[in-house]
Amino acid sequence: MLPRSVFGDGSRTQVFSDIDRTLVAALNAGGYTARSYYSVPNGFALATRIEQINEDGTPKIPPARFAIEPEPVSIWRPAEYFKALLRGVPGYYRVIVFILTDAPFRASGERPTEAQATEWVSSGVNVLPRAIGDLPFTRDVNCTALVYEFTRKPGDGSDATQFDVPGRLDAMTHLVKSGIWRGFGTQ
Amino acid sequence: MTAELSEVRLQPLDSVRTRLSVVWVSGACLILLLVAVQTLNGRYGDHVQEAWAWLLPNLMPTLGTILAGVVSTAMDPHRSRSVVRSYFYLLALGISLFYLALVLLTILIAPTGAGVTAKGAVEEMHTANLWLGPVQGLVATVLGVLFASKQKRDAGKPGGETG
Repeated sequence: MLPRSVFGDGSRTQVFSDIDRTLVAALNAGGYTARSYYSVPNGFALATRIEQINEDGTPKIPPARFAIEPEPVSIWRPAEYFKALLRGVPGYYRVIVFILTDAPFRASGERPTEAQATEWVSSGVNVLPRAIGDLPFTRDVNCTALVYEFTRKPGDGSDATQFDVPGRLDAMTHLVKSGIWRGFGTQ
Repeated sequence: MTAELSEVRLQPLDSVRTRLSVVWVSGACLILLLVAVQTLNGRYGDHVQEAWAWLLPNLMPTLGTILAGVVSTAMDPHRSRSVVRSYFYLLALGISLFYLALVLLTILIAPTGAGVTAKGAVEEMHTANLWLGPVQGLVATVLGVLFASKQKRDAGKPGGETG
């Protein structure tokens, strides 16, 4: 759950579209230009495009970042090359979903597939509907960041990507490594 | 005829066979060992069968011919008097090294492109068959002459070319 301080000092009344602007600015700072909105009870969810990350949670350098297949390795980086030659390259993927609502929720236990997560960025709507944007950001409303991690073992194809439960890294590490947290700081 | 032959550099067939056997056995062992290590490390994931189904037909027929030739003479107490022209030996050696390098490169180059995934690596192996097939045909022809053809029985004469 994100601290309310990232959305302002609380000196003025805010609505959901204000929070959305803060989230979008932070996502832009992290390089997440493709995103999608979904309606949730009493609020909305904002999902990023599935991205390929390094083992430590930092994003891969584009175009590998938003590619599904792993990036070919250079023969001029011997350690990486021999690892890829002998063992293959594992794939780590991530989707970040921000949920803004005053309704409590819990994990359903249902494991999304990589194919489903890939569609999250395209099956929602591109802007926050005004009816939701005008809702007040009261003290009961929380902004929660859900991070879905997927791993593909070396040698497996993209169709063998598995949802990680629990994730390898905690949500805050993901927010920091993705550059989103730094984006909140620049508001 | 004798004067012409004396100007041609000749090598003993046994020596040529030994050197080519060493090249092939060491080269094939290196490649087989590499793919075995890759397999045990999960490099080919669910495509292990396809990877080995590509590799074995590319090595085993020629290796089998060579070993059969070596084994058939292993129990022969007499040293072969047959000789091989040096340029033919160099041709056989060159084409063997070229072929083994092509097979090895197919495996080594995979992580630098689409072959970084198991599926991509196997697809690249199948693509490589386009040029490996014809070269393997040439290798089989040349080595077949050296390892599978019968030697002339030339009692008393110091040399007889293979063929």
